[in-house]
Amino acid sequence: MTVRVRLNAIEKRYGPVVANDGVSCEADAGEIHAILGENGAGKTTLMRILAGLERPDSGAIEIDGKATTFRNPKDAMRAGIGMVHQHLSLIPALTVAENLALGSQDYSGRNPTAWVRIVRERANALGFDIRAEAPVWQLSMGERQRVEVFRLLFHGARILVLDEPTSILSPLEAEQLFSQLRQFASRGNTVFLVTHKVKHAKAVADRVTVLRRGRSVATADIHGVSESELAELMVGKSGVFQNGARIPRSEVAGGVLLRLENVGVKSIACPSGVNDVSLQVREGDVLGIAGVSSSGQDEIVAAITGTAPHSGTITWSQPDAPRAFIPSDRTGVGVALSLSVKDNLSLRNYGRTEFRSGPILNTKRLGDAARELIAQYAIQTDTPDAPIATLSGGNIQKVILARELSREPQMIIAENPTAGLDLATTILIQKELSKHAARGAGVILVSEDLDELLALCDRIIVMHDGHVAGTFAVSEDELPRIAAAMTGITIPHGARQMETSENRSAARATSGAHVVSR
Amino acid sequence: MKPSVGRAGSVMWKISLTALPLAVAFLAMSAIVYSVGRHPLTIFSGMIRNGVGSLLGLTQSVTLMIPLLLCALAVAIPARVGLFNIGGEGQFHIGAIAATAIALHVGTLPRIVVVPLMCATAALAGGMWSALPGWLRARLGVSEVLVGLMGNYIGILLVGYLVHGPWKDPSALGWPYSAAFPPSATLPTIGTTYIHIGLLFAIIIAAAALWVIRSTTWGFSSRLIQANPATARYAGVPLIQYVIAAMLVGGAVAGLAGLGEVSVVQGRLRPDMSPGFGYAGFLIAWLSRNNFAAIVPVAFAVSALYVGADALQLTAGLPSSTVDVVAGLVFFAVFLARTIAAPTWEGADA
Repeated sequence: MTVRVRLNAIEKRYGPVVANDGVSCEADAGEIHAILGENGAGKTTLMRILAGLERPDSGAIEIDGKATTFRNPKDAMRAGIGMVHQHLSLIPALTVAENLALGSQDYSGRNPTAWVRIVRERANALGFDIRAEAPVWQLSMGERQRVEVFRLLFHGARILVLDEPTSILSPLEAEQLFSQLRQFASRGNTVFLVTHKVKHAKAVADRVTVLRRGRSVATADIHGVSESELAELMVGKSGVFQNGARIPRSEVAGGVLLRLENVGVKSIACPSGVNDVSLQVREGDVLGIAGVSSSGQDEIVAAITGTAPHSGTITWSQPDAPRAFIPSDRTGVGVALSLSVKDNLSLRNYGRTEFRSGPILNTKRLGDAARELIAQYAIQTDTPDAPIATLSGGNIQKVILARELSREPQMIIAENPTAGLDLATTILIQKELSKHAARGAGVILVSEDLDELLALCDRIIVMHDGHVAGTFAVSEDELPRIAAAMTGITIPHGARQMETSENRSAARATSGAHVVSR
Repeated sequence: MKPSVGRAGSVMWKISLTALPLAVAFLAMSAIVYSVGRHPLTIFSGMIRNGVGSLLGLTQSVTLMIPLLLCALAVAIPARVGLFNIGGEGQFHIGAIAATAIALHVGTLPRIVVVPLMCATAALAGGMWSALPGWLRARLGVSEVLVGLMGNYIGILLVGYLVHGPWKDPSALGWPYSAAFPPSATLPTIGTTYIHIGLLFAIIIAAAALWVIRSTTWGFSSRLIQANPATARYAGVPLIQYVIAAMLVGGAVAGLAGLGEVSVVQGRLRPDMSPGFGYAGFLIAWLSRNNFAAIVPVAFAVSALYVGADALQLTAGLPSSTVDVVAGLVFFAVFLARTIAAPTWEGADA
């Protein structure tokens, strides 16, 4: 095989920050190459350089053995390089075909009907299932991403760069994407997959380059390294990934903290609404809520946290006990971006009597409390007074975590608490949740990451299309049934022996998981 | 990409972000003045002399500053919970009406009774006038801008109705004026000037607002609402109460501005009392970034600018619209500079 892309000693600085410090990597034709690293390791910068969006300070790019410089994305596109960004760039109000017409030389002089036909033909030829006439806002995130990939191929890309493509996908959609990428590579094309998930790199890549703090620490054949080796390369020696942040707890849970009976919530995402949800959480319980996105999880959380009207009954055993809520929309709900780190750490506490006398704030005490939390949770910030918008995503989540958990909550409701975060922060968050459960707090963990649910929870409720599709004890044996329930299929208990090895592995693939064993 | 904190946060940066566009605005003004055949330097020195360079000019500037500062506070206070109080003009007129009602009906009572009563009534009336858009906004999500704007027309026309109808002074030779306020219904002033106790109110309100925002739980809640209403709701802040309260206080302050004008400067209710104080207040609040410390000097500067430019009509024979040209240029230049330089998370200063 020939070397299609070679990046040699790429260096890129933003002021004092070194994003890429002499990074090298290469990929052959027909290869899927994973760029693996934690948040801030320099993965995205490197790929933006390859796609012509950034210019390196030094270093060389070779395409098919020829040294090349890209002044802009157009140059890169001409060389056959296309990038799918983490935040998709389609225009929601336009149809798929209209989006494809933008920036396309082929479009000029054609009428819309003929254009739709061309788009369809090309999609069929490339094996893409695409609704050409649907407006983009009607498509799921997975479909939109497929359109993005298709658009690049449509424009003639031979080298695809995908930046964290699975962060917006359900496990099933991720698997579909992977198979599409394999197909694309098998035709002699090259794929760069930027990810921080070891598992995804293992699942789809041929080779992997690991970045850490702006340096390439290793390039390896994917079959020659284990997951734990890759994880160790990513985070360095200190924070080696361990499956199962779960701390063993006594088997008998305490008293019931929260009970939902036949709760229903009106919903935009699920047209039929969310109906008949019953569940209970005891002291020390970790209850997982699984499901593909928009299956009703958000509505149930909104009902529990009191932000949405509901039918049925929700009973708290101690209505006044402190509760923690870690929302999935961190920057939209969890923090106020224009306020300081200190203010964001204080915003659930400033009304408490120890921080005020009458209406007058004790700013010194609030500042001390904030500094303590910053130290305790190792939040990386220059000063407590810095705007929280200057922090990385992981540190913003740590601020939310510190604020919520420092209240010694009796109940913790966490929505996708580790989504998109680096390994070290993920482990920290999972450990904290377990620690508080062991202390006797009840935890509701809503997550799209089945691995996480399996690692942390005692029981998992699967939501599908607005109702509870099943409640499962956490064990390896239940995995196929959990995965099936997520897609709306019920496998009866008695049918265990009918299970073939084939649908079992399908279920594993669906979960994006390799089974956690304990 | 992260904007650099140091640059955007430094005092020098903030000052130059205002000083530089001001210089540009005056350059543009010079070009205009030059094009109509005048020398810019004589015009500017005339403006400064008329605005702040003489005792008379200074007195006029401070007098004009009172309604401007109060109307600016009427915008800045609701702005700190993320609301646009565009209805200052209406609240001003309603405040003036309320004060006139007291003056006309019980104005012969002792001054010690009448003045506090007028203050309370004007503030309450202005406050209610803006609490309505506040309530509609908080409860039903109706835009406070639209309701406030409509309230302006109603307030102004209500004054017109009163002075043409029930309150028309028969002795005013057909002019649409109310009867003059009795002496006991005149706010205390400094000597024979029109500088009245409203100045003290305005400064106390600005100082109090600064303290509330910086040092109290209410201020923290307000800043939270302004920064992100969703986060505030999540933190358990009663948004509806804050929205209504902030609008109510804003309207009350604008009502006091109306009281000052009708009681001291005009001495009677008349239809053309306000050259657009409510809107000028918006300009001042915006120039000072709703910062309660900056709002006082900015109000004075804008007032001096108006007074100085206004005098050009007499001293330099320039048309009266010169004032609007100057104000427009300043506003535009500062707006442009801030838009270009704006860091993404920029909020108001505490």
